[in-house]
Amino acid sequence: MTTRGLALVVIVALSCITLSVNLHAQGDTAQQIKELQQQSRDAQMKNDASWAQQHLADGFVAGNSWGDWQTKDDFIKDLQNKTAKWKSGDISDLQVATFGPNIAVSHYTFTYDAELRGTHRARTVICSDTWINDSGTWKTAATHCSMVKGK
Amino acid sequence: MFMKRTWMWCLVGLLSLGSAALSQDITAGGGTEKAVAALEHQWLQSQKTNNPDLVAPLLADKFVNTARDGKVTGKADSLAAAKATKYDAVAYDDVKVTTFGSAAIATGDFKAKGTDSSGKPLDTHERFTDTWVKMPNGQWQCVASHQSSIEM
Repeated sequence: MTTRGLALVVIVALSCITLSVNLHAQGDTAQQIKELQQQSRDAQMKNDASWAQQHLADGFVAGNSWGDWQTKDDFIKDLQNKTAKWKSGDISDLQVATFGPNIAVSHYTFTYDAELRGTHRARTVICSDTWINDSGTWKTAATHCSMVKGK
Repeated sequence: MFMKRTWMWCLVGLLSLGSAALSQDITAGGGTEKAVAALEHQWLQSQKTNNPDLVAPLLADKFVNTARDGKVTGKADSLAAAKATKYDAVAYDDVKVTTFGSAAIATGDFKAKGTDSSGKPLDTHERFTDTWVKMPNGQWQCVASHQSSIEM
């Protein structure tokens, strides 16, 4: 084999390794976000403000299915004041799309029955969450849900 | 004496570099917010003029739209729906952009009247969240848009 041929083989092999490592990393990120999404739901249902404090980005915004906005402070205050009383809440159809190593968007269905700020809501919503990797910690930058069925 | 002077110049140099970097970061942050707000304006123009060609380049290939009724569509179906929708009046209000490195979140109010993609009358007031990502070629593209109706 000529030197040029050998160089070509090495370049192709390195490209394959790089592609494989990238695909593996994307798969890892998607799996990590799926686990964090479940943790996020658990924290919300347990009114765990410390988890939210750590995993909501500064500048976080939530758009809920009845058209209200909530900031990070509003969201944490609600958890601290335990304004939400959850009977049930289940995530399904969770899908994650990654955009480079530091950005991911999850799409999922959330079916819940809860009293939220004194209003009983039992509904199925579909949500999109944007996750950013902030110096090694994945944080939610935004969440927005819209109602599919329920009241 | 010479060493002291050298250290002093090094310190001045470092402080200048730090200050320049900080100033560039702040400018880049503000610049990004303006750039993304301009793209949101272009999206509005596409709706005002019923011209989906204006919005097509703003959407990433992996773009996902979630409508106020929970209907999820990709880029091709979203553009087809945009083409079939006819707006008589459309307005954005209270648009805010927050940047997170190579991601930006735009939120706002959306009011529209016209005819929807299935030919039914449209009169809606919604809130939207758009997720923008700076692509490897340096262009900002929307990867997700989510709307919900405002309950009265």
